[in-house]
Amino acid sequence: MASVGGEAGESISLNLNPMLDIFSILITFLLMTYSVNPENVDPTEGLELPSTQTLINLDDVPTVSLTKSEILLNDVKVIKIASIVDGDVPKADQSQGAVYSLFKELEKLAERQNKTAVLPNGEKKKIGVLTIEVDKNHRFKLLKRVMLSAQQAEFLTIKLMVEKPRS
Amino acid sequence: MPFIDVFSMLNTFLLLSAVFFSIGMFEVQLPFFSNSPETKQDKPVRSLDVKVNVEKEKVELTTSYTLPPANEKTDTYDITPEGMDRLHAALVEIRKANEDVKKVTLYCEDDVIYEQLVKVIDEVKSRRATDPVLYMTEDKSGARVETKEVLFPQVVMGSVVL
Repeated sequence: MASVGGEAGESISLNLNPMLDIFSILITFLLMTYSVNPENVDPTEGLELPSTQTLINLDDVPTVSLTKSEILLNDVKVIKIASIVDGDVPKADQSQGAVYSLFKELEKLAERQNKTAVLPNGEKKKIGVLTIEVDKNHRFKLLKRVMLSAQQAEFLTIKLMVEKPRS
Repeated sequence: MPFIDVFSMLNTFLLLSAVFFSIGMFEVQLPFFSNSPETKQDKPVRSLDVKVNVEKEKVELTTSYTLPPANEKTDTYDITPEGMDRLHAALVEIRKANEDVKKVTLYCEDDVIYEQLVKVIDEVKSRRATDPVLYMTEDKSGARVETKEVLFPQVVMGSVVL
């Protein structure tokens, strides 16, 4: 028990046991939830992910985010979907079922990835993989357009970001 | 007290590095057309084709063989917790009876809400802890291995075509 002396000579004692108890419980909880997974992603603002039972962790690959009002590629705004009609992008931005501006950006990204696909040690980097985070209330129509844009830019493996249960 | 100092430091570090929101992912494949010459097999193999069609309020599970007799079978499930349990049980039965079937082709209607689609993909891809032990033949080594986390490893988005 810690104690300090007062002006009049009386000592005030501080009971540290409850504090130590709280610390111990807090440390136990935090150690149990501690994650050593280096891929920690903050979900994009204005986006709510659906929850699942998946146990697979994220990879470090380009990400397309479909928030409630925008489409972002690696956190850079590609298109604003505030003018969304029936959960779809504006007609002016549609091309062959895809989102034209997103396709152009993905095409550039694919080109850059192809150039740097072989690492100096001869190892090949995984290309053609794209992560998509979608607000849970969007319709498949919009996701399909994004997937078609990815397909046309030769991103054929899609990783759908979801909220997973805590293990 | 040094003990409290250690606790405070540890607490601060753990609180700063704590992850309160856990994110995972599903891997799906997009169909693609290739102009490379088709590889001809000596004898066509009769295999099971599994299709899942997601509609706004229900899911259709269709199985058929690639060679006659096709034995096409279609079952319908509601997008409710009970319906999803029944769908998962049906998929487990298919996997149990056909160890080599790894692919499911998923079709989805435009007006389906993404959250519902994810629920269906979850039932198709994820293996539950209560599921029986399932095996799969590895492509490279040909070894028969137990599948731990996935039910059907390959989900192809059949609707994503021009």
